Amino acid sequence: MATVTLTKVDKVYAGANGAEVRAVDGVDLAIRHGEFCVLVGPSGCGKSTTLRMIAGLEEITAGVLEIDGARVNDLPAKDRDIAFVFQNYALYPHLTVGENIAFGLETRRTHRSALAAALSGAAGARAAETAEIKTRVAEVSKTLGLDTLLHRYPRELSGGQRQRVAVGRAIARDPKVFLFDEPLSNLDARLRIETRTELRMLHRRLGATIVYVTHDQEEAMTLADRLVVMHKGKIQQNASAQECYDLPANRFVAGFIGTPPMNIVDGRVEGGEFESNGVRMPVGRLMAPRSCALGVRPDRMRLVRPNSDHSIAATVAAVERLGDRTDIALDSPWGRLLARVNADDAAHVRETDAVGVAFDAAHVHLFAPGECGARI
Amino acid sequence: MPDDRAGTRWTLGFAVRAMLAAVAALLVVAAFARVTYRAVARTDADAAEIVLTVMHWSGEGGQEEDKIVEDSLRAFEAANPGVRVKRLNPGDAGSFYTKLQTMMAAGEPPDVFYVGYERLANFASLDLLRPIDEFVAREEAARAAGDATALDLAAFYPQTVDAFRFDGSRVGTGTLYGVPKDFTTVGFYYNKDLFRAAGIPFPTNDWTWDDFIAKARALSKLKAKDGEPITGSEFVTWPVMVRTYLRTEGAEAIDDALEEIRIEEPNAVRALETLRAWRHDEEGTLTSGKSRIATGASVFLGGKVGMAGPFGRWVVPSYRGIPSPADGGFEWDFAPLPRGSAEANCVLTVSWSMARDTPHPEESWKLIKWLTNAESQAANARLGLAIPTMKSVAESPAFLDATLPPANNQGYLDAIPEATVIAWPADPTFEQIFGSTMDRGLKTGDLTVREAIDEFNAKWRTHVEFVPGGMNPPPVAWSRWSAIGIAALGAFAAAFALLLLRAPKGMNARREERAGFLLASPWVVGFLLFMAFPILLSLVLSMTNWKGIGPLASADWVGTDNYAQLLSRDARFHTSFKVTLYYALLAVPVGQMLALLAAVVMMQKVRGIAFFRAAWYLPSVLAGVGVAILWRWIFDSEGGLLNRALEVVGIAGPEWFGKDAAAFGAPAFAIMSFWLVGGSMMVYLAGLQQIPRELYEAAEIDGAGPVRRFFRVTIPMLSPVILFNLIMAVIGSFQVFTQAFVMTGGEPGDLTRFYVLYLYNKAFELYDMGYASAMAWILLLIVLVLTGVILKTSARVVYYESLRK
Repeated sequence: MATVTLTKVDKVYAGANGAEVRAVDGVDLAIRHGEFCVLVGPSGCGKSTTLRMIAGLEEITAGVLEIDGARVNDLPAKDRDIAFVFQNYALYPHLTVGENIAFGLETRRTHRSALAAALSGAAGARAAETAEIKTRVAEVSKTLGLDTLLHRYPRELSGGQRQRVAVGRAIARDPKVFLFDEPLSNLDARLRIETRTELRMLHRRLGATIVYVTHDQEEAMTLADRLVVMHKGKIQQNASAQECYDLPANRFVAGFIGTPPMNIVDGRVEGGEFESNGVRMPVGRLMAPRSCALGVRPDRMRLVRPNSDHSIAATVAAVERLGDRTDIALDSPWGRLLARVNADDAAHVRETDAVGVAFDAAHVHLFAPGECGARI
Repeated sequence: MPDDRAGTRWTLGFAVRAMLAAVAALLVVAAFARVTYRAVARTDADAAEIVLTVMHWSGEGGQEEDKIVEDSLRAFEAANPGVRVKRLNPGDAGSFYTKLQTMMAAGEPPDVFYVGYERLANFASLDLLRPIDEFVAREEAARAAGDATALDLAAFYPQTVDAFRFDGSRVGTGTLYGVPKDFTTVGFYYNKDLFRAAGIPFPTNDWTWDDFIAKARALSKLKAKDGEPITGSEFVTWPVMVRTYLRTEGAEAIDDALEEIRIEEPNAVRALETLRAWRHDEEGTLTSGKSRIATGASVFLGGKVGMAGPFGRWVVPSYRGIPSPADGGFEWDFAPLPRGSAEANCVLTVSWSMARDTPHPEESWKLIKWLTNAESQAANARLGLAIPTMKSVAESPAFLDATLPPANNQGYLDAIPEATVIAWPADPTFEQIFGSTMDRGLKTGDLTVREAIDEFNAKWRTHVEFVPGGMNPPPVAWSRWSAIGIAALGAFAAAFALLLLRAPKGMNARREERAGFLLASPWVVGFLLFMAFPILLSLVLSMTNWKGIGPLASADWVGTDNYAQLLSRDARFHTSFKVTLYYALLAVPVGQMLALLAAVVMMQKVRGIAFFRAAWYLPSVLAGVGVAILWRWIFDSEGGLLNRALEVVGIAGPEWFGKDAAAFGAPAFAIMSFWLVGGSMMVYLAGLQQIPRELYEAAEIDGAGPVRRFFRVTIPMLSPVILFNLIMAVIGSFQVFTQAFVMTGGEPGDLTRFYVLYLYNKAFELYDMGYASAMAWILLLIVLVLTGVILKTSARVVYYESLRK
């Protein structure tokens, strides 16, 4: 268990034609003991680079990285006492499962060479060490349900098993911090959800500090104690998953967190109403006139009779029935809107039907204009 | 409906196929028609016009010799309407004989061609040449009847004519097989300026070996302008020169009947020991023989050697390029070979001969007469390359005219009375063994004269005692072998048909398969014709005594005699195998390590790495021969780059290809091979780039340093590539040829005679194709076994799946 603190961390690459590419831009982040911190964002947002900087696989251009309060910027990866689980697992294909798990322990043993140990009279110590490694591998593999696979080669394993070996290799050494780089993205959907739960349970059991990178916001939300949403190298929001969902810090977070994504419409707010393309809706508070964006999550949208008060006239463009709920895509003066309603309420909705869309002012999010416009 | 569609497609496919078949048939018919037409046309043309093929070389004479022959042939055509002459000139004498051998084996030799006197016994005994006595007799009759243009052999130097007589066992008497076109006697070329500097008189035409060595010693006291020492003389120890030298001391290497070896007789041994002592016991008297470059005719050009020889007239064109003293060169002249207890010289000559089976003997004879007449000889004489064989021309201004050096043209003629043809046994192996053993005794000096003689005796005895197939070997049962061949072909076809029949049923599968076979068929035909047939033929040949020259029908069946001789008795073969193995043991592991190391270095992300990659690969694309010549300079033990560099760090470099060749010859070639690691490096580089970066990162986080990462990640992940490269390198190491052929020719002795070089020598120089074929099959087996062993032993450590995902 350990804390990980990043202070004003930058990563700048030399791009083509001498241009600078700022992959990570002034990231401040304090991860507490035993916290499950998830970095999430679209590809190219800098989350993996941040993780690799923590691991020591990338140099930190500027800023300070501390593990347990000690500056580790210049410490090589192997001395940071971290473990890393790669997206493609990076298992050593020529080693068995047991050897893969033991690899990190073998490299760290005091008496690496049997001959040298024998010559210096440390044969006994070496044997003890060997036994220790064996025990540890057995322990880890038992925890992960790999104990029957120890003599298999990675090529003989399923995707899920390989993933567990990768995790086993990480936990064998009992490191201070676990780093996961999209570890579930090579699994199929069902296995991904199962493994997700296992990871969560493993975290609870180990109580380890985990930094986890994913581009899948659903995975991020289910796993995270702390959710760090990144975009264009910057942290957009750093809060609990629920807070990111309920009170997105800006328009980007609002659009990125939540499935299906939030409906966001550009327009103006004046008095208590938001207006876009000639259609006005109340926002529940009085505001000075300004341009802004309005966001409403699809599940807060209601279908009403056409031309009801405080509704938007719309045409049903598509109906997707998910069983308990139904997603309805609507063409309206505000553009394409998505409503997620109870299946019962949408039983009779058909494509091309004329309907009204409404929402409560309490569920409205307002953002300043621009891609990352702040919450108002 | 589906049937319908299939039917439509079938029709379409059928149409396309029918069209293709029609085109193919047309092509075949056209080809046959063309061949037939040409055959008919040729017969027609024959009636009107006779085409003679003439082949010659142009060695030292170069373009000029080429032109002289060309002009002469065109003049012949003008004088003989109805006869057309096609001229072939493959280049130097070596290429000439290789081409001649190929043409003869194919049964289509040129009608008229050069034959060097040293090959006469061999060619005549193989029945490749047409005797010309009947023509000569006819000429004599014509002359008696008053025809002035008739050929008069009496007008030729008799030794030159006798050089082309062969009585079935030795040259000099018997049937005449050619008319000598020109010849030379031998002697020493000397640097007049150095003689003046040393204050000693020039050699005379009747000088002795005592004079020679006194002059050489005096010359060796001189220093060149740049402070470098002057060497008294270059003395080449070519087989013919050694034998001529022996004759000047009344000794012989082999008796006149070419039956009894006489080299062990005291006067022969004494003469050889004297020669060896001059070179090896005296500093600077003779060129050391350590250096492989500083030998032969070209050393004289540098002006730091007082005398050079024994050479014939052929060096004159290149020596005429030596500038005058005013232009920084020197004056030079020629003196015939010194006399010892006896007076002797040799006649080296080339004839125009005709192929035994020429369809146009009359016209060929006419042409030979033309090419050796006074006019042609005079034209050749102006070239300076050789002495006309016709006395009247040699003693005419065409030859003696002294506007160009050497002034002492008379010297060559003065030597003629004592000059004789050095007859060699018809089997060229004698000359080769004699040459390589004498080289070790006299030139490199790693053997004493006594040891060299013993080695010569041992090798020659082994060779002579080997009579493959016994005294009366049966002819090869070609009919049976063709039957076996046809049966094999039938079996192949049957297997093919079986494959087709076993094909998965179903219209689509069958059609797909048929298309597959159709597409593969050109390759299959190519393989059968150009690979399988020659390979199987060589297997049959390995059990015959086919000479590789002359028709296959001339071969006798010798069973496994060739193999038995190779495996149990041929010491030269054993040496060549050992040399090759020694080389492989050095070149393969070290070379592969270097290649891998280079590849790892080339993986670094450094600016301009592409340049370095290209630079490292570059040597692999350079032409082998040119590179070999460069390396010969590098390994030269006197002033070679490598030894100079070693000298700088205080190490006395070995005589790589001299007396230390037993230990350092093969390693030198191994060092040279390291220059070519670029090819393997590229393969390693490609393999390295296939290794996922994450594996290194994972290992790094797991605490592995660079060395551990290399051994625990790189090596296992690369193991299939390593295996591939290893096998390729092992195969390659057994195929070393060009380098050795160019750099050392297998010398000294057989110490750098690599397997394939010996195979080449046997096949193309010693005319023993059957034996060479057996060697090729043994080589195949060796490589097969080695590859098998490597594959078997590597199965445990090679991780194949790493390249699969």
